[in-house]
Amino acid sequence: MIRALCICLLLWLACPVTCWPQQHHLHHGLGLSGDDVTCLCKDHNGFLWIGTSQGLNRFDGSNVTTYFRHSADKGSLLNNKINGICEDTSGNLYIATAAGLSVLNLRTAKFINFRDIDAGSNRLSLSAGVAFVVYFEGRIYAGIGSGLLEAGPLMTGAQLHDWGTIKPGGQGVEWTNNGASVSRSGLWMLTSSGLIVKNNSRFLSDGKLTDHLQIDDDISAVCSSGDTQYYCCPSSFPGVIVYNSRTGVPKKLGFKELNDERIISVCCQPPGKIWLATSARLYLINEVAHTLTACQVGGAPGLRISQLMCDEIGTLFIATSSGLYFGSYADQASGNDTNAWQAITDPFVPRVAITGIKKAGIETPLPAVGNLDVSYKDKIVSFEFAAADFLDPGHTMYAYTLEGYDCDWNFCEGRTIASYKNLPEGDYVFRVKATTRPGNWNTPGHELGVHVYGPFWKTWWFPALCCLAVGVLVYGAYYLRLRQLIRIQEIRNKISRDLHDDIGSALSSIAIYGEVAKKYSSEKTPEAIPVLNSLQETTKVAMDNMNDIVWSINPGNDKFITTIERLELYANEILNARGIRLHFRIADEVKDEKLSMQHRKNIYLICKEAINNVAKYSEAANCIVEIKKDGRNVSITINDDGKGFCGQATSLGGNGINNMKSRAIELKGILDIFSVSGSGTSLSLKFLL
Amino acid sequence: MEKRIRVSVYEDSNCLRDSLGKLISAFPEFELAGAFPNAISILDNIARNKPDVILMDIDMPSVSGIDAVRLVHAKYPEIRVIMQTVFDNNEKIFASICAGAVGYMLKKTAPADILDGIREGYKVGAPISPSVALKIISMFRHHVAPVKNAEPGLSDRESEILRHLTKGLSYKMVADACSISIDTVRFHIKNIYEKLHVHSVSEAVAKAINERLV
Repeated sequence: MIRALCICLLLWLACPVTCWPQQHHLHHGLGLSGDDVTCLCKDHNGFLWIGTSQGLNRFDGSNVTTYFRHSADKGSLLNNKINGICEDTSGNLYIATAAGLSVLNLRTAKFINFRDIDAGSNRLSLSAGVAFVVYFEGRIYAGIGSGLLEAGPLMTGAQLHDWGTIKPGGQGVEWTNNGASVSRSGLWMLTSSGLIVKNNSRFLSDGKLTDHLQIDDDISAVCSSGDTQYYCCPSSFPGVIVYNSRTGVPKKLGFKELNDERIISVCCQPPGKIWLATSARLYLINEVAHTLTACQVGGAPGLRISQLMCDEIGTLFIATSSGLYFGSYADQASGNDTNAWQAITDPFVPRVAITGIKKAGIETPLPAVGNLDVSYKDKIVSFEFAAADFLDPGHTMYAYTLEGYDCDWNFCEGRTIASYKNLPEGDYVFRVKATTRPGNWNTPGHELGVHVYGPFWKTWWFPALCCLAVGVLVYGAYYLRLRQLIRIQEIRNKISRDLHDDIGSALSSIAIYGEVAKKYSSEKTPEAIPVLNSLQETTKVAMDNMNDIVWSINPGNDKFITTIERLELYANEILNARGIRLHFRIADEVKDEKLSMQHRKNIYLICKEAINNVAKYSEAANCIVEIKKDGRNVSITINDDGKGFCGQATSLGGNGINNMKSRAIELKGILDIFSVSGSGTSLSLKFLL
Repeated sequence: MEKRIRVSVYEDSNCLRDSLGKLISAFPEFELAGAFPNAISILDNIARNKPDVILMDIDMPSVSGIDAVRLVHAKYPEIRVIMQTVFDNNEKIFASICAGAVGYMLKKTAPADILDGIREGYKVGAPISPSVALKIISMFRHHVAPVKNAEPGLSDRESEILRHLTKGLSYKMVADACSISIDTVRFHIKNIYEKLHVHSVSEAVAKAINERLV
C-alpha cells in the first residue's frame, strides 16, 4: 500500500518564462490507481484525495494509499469511477461514483455505501451515478439524474430537489461531473445548460445574477476565493470575469489568446493569481498586472486537464488524464508580487495523522471515538502515521512517543511506523508530530489514547477469586469432614445408647433373676448357690466392662476431669469397702485438658486396675493418687502404704499387670511399678498429652 | 407379721421390669404393688396401688422419671421414690433428688443391694455420692443464699458432713470424723434432703435446674 515514490523533476525548457519550475508528477507507474484523474479534495489532515476512473487514492506527498471496489467485500468502495469528492466537518469523506455514493470514515477507514436512498416517501436509486458531491452549510448535496439530493451528515434525512424546482422547464438537463463549487454565499453548480446557484433556499438559474453576469450564460468554470470574489468563465468571453459580491463591481480579464478556447477549470490564489485550464493548456493570469502566461503541463501528447486546485500554502494540483501534476509556483517571480514569495517563505508545518494501526500484524481500524483497546495477546501493536507535504515531499521528519511507556520522543524520517512489543497493562497516549524544518514541530500533533488489557490472571479480581475459591474448597472439605465426624459420633452414640438400654438392662435382669433363683433354691438345692453367685459375679463384671466402654466413647466425657471424677468415684467405692482411705491430689492444670477416646479409656483402665490391686492385695491404710502435669508431660502416681511385694511385678496379678503394660504402650507412655516388701507399692504412669 | 413394704416399679425395659418384680415378690418382707412401663398415669396408679416405695427409671418415654418424681412428691410427699439409672449421670441424679427423690441406685447395683436400698429408702434416706454432695453445697451457696431469710439454709453441722462426703468418706467414716454416731449422720442427711426438697420447689431452684442442671 505504501510505496516509495520517486518524484520526477521536469524542467520546462520550452517556455520562455519559468512559471512552473518544480513540477512533481504522480501517475499510475508510481502507485496511483489510474492515470485518469477526475477530481481532487484535501481533507482536514492535509491529505490529498485523488479520484480517478480506476479507483480512489490518498496521497500525502510521498505515499499513495489506494481504495478499490472489491466485488466480494460489501464494505469496499462502491465503484472505481469517481466523479467527485468532498469532506464534511466530522471526518467523513463523500465520494460520488458512477454507481452511487460511498461515505468513508477517515478514522476507521470504513465505507458506507448508498446505491439508493430514502428521500421523503420515495426510494431514490443512485445506481445511475452521482455527478458531484459537495458539503455546503452543514448539508451534503449530490447531483443525480433526477435532480439535486440534499441530506444531513452521513446521508440522513435525505430530500430531493427535482429539476422542476431547480430549473423550471429544464428537462433533459444533466449535471457536469465534478462541476460544483462552494463559497460562503452560494453553491455553484454547472449543468449541461448553464449554471445553477443555490443561495439560501433559492435556486437561481435564470436571469441576471448581476449586471454583468447572466447566470443562464454558458458558464463552463467557476471558483471562489474568500467570501467575496467569484471567478466565472462564460463561454462567450475569452477570459475570466471576477465578481466581487461586496463592491458589486465585476472585473473582466480578457485575453485575445483565449479566443475560441473553452475554459474547463479556474482556480485562484489570492492575491492576484488566477489559474485557468483548457482541456490541453494551463494559463496563469496576473490579476494586478493583467498578464497571461501560458504554461505547459507534462510532456505527454494528448494530455487532458480535468481540474485545477490550489491550496493555502501555494501548491497547485492539476488533475489530468495522465496523472496528477503538482508543485509550487511561487518561484515565479513577477515584478511587484511579493506576497507570492511570502507563501513559501513562511515556515510550513505539515499536519500529521495516524493512518493505520496493526495489532499482531493485522490491520485494525482506528476506533471511531475514544481509546484504542489492545489485548495483551496482540503482543505487537504498531501505528502508521503520515504528514501531507506537497512542497518538499520526502523530507518530513516525525517524532512519536507513547506516553506512559516511552520516556522521550522517538525521531524518525522516512519510516513512518512505530511498533511496540508486549506492552504492560495500562493506559497510554500515543502522540506523533511532524516537521519539515527541525525545531518547528506541529505541536501538539496528533494523539490517540491506548488501553492495553492485561491477561485476566493479572487483574485485581483474579487473585481475590482464587482466594475465595480456595476458601470455599477448604471450608467445603472442612464441612464434609465435620459432617463425617458428626455422623460417626451419632453412630457411636446410638451404639452406646443401645448397649446401655438393651444389653445393660438384660445383664441387670440376669443378675436379678440369679438372685431370685438363689432365694428359691437356697433350701432345696443349696449346691446351686455358688453357681448362681458366679453367674452374678460374671454379670457384674460384664456390666462394669460395658459401662467403661460406653463411658469412654461418650464424647461428653472428653475432659480429663471427667476421667478423674469417674476414677475417684470408683476408688471411693472399692477402697472404702476395704477401709482404705483415699487421697486424691490433682493438679489444677490437668483438669481442663482434653483426652481422646483412646487415651481416656487406657488411662482409666490402667488406674482402675491399679486401684483394684491396691484394694485386693495391699492391705494398706492409705492410697494416694497424684496427677501432675509439666508442659505436655503428665504423670500419674498411685502409691499405697500396704505390705508391698517382692520380685517382679508381673509375677503378681497375672494378666492384670500385662494388660496395664500393653495399655501403657498404646498410650505411648511409660509404666513403672516399684515395690519393697513391707513398705508399700508405687505405680507411676508417664505419658505425653 | 411386720407390715410388708409395698413397692411399685416404673421401668420401660421389659426384662428389667419383670426381673425386678420377681425379685420383690420373692422376698416376703416386700410386696409388689404394681409394675408399669411408663409414668403417664402415675398418680392414678398410686391412688389404686398405694405404694410405700417407688423404684423409678430416670429415662422413660413420654414422662421422664424426674417429672414423675416431681408429680409424686407434690401430691404424696410420704412416698419414697428411689431413682434407677443406667448412667451414673450426676446431673440427672441431682435433678431427681432436687425433684423429691430420696435416693438413687445404678442398674448395675447387685440385686441384694437393691433390696437393701429399698429398705434403707423406706426407713431413713438414701446415700449421697461425693459429686452429688458437692453439688448440694454449691447449690446452697450460689442459688439459695439470696433467699436465705425466707428458707432454711444448711446448718454448720450439715455443711461439715457434706464436705466430708465430697471427699468420698462413707457414712461410717463421716461419723468417725465428726465424732457422732452413724444414725446422727443419717439424721442430718435426711434433713439435708428435706431442705433440698423445700428449696427445690422454690422458683430459684426450678430455674437453676432448668438452666444449669437438666
